[in-house]
Amino acid sequence: MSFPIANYSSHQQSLVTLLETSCGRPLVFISGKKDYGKTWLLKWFRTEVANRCAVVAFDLAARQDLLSPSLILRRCADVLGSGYFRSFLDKAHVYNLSRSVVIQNVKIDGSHNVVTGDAGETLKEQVLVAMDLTEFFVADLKNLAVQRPPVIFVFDHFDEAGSLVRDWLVEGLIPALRAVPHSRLVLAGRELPRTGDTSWESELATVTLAGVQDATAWRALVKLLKKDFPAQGAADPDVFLEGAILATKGIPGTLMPIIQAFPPAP
Amino acid sequence: MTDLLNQLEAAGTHEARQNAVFTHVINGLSDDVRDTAMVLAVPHWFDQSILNLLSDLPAKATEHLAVLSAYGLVVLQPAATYSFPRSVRSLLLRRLIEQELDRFRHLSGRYSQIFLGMKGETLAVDIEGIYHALGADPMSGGRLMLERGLLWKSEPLFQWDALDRLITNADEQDAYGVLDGECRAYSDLLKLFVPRLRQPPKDEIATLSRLQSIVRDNIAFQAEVELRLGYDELAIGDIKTAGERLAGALVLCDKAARPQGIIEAYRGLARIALRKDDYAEAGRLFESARGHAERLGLIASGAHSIKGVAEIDFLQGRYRPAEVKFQQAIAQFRQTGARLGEANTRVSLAQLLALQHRFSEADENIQNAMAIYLPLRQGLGLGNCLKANGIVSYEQGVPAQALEYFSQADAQYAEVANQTGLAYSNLVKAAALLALDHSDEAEHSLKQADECLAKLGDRYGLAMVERERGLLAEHRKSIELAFKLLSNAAAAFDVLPNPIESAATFLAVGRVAVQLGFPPGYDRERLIETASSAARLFEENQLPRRQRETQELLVVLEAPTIVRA
Repeated sequence: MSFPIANYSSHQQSLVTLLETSCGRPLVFISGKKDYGKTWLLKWFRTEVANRCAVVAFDLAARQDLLSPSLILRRCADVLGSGYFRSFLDKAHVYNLSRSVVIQNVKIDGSHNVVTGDAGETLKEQVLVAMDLTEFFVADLKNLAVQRPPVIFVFDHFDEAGSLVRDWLVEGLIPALRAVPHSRLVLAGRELPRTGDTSWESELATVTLAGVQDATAWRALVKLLKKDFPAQGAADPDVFLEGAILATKGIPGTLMPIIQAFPPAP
Repeated sequence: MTDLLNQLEAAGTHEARQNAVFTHVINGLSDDVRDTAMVLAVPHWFDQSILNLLSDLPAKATEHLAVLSAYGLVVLQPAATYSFPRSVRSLLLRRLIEQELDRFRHLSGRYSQIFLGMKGETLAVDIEGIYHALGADPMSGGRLMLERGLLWKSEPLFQWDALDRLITNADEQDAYGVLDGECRAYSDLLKLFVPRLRQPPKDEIATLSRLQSIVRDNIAFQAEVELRLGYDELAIGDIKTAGERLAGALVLCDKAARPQGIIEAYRGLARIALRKDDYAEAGRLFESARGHAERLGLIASGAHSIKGVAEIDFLQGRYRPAEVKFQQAIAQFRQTGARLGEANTRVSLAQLLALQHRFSEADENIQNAMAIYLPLRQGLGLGNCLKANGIVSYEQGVPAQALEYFSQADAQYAEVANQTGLAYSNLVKAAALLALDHSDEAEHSLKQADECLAKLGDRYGLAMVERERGLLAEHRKSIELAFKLLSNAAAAFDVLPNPIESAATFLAVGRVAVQLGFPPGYDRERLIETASSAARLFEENQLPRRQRETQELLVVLEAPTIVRA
């Protein structure tokens, strides 16, 4: 079954160009208000390119994680093959070792968790330490012999990231990845970093989602989801669908649940 | 469906449209599926292992979950976890809380036990567990939140993002109307530590005073409020109140068994003692802080105290032990990634090394500090680096270059409105101006430094100003005035005490006394004896410029008397 996504074709195309070897804009920012389909577009992208290149994705709003730069980099190394990231992992081990040794002295009642936070007392110091660590990661990444280039780093919900991760992405990872020709980065969120005065502005493509007003696209989606129009719309599905698009402003996060609640097609 | 479309057209906001859609979908669910949805919507996320531990789950929950997924009400995420979209979860939770508050509290209690018992690579599960503890019982949950929040903000964890999420969660529960005033006070206190929510000291004092009147029987809370108030009072310059607050905080932190608080209180009190130039008391307090930190294995906290003691050694002219302690502090700061602590220490050390004419080492430390301050955009730190560069140039005998650095430092201090930085910059600038024979400008700089240092009650700085004024008078051949000012300065350094600055000033007094024909109490023998003892002190502390000045004075003292006409 094809991935059920409404007509964001030009946006989809912008993402697909990341696969080109001579990609001139290896950095893509996807912006859009709540429920405009940023996450869904990223899901489509990951499905689309899953077998064609290496993708490492993070949901910065996920509550089951408390992502930090060192954790993100370690997970990237795990996905891409930790054997390629010896220098980074050695350095990360030193950081973690020092933190773990200290943390062992603190009793945390009722919790089994010994966390390995990022070094540094203040947030700014932690960003700086993370930037150092990123240099080691990027150096290993440069030497990575990628079987299916490029390596694409995907970050969703930038606006919901913690301050440490947000600052590190803007000041650390994004600038550092410029040195790696086979790397790409996609960042999605309601609010995105300001790009003025950055060294990477010229390498950035921005994609803005504004809802889908095209009834044909939604009709195709109804079919793809194997749904039937409800009784009120069965007589004239196009008129019914246009009414729904008008009422929801074509915002995927609002219209999609309505379609999902349609009865199954016979 | 037509009703829904009509509602959507009438809705004024996206949120209203979204709520209308999901309310329509939720209302269309069968009762048992909707009930399962409400139970599962209590946590922000769940997985099968959590469901297995939840005895309150309806029998057909797995089937219901499939239905909810098919409707897009529950989303399967990576690592086999599920979550409800935010607006769906909010609708379900509000419905549960409105209809069955006791059941919500009971479920929250169960989820709290489950999440707090889970193992995790990060604090995410703890945060989720505390969120549910707040929902189960705001009193005990609030106390747990406060306890954990204070722990996470302190060494060794410094988990700022965890703290941020903790209070965001508390705000969420508050929006559902399930918290009480005391719990909100705990959350408001913790907010003061979240970097993005920090307030200026005066605003924070107002917030803390308000919070103090809400919670009266939680000693950990009272201790932290008092501690924070002490630091705020210190920041706005009310030394007396700050001292009282921090002394109170010390007692409360001890009662509350908050060792990190005890260390912070000792350090704050030490800073106050330093501001009063009470070096002995400051040293004792820093040592107490260091002792506690070392017992707990708190490396950065220990480093701050070691740096404090090193500064006292430096201020009192014990350069060798000061250098050893600065180096030790740098090593400890580096170990924990406390880059600002490292940079600040390097700047102090660089100034010491500059006075010893170990210029390449001084430069190296300044460069390392700059490399930390620049990306962090620390204006005060950069100002201090530029000032240290100026001191290096001055000691190298290049006052014009020094002056350039001091002017750049001034600009940085002005940008961050740091009066102490500006005052000391004016002070060293005066010395450079004098060396360049710009005595009027030097006088102006000294006037500015004096005004600020007098306001701060900085006796060390004021003694330095008095000495520079004496040197200025000497430069202008106002020998009697010079003698008076320099004698005052030497006496002020004696009182502090600072034997090195006292001896250095005495050299100038001696030089002027020779020109005055050895006034009473300053006979040649006494001057030779004092200069010889200064020479030993300067040699011991490796201060080439001072050694040279001593030799120059001794040459004059051993030469035939020159009496002023």
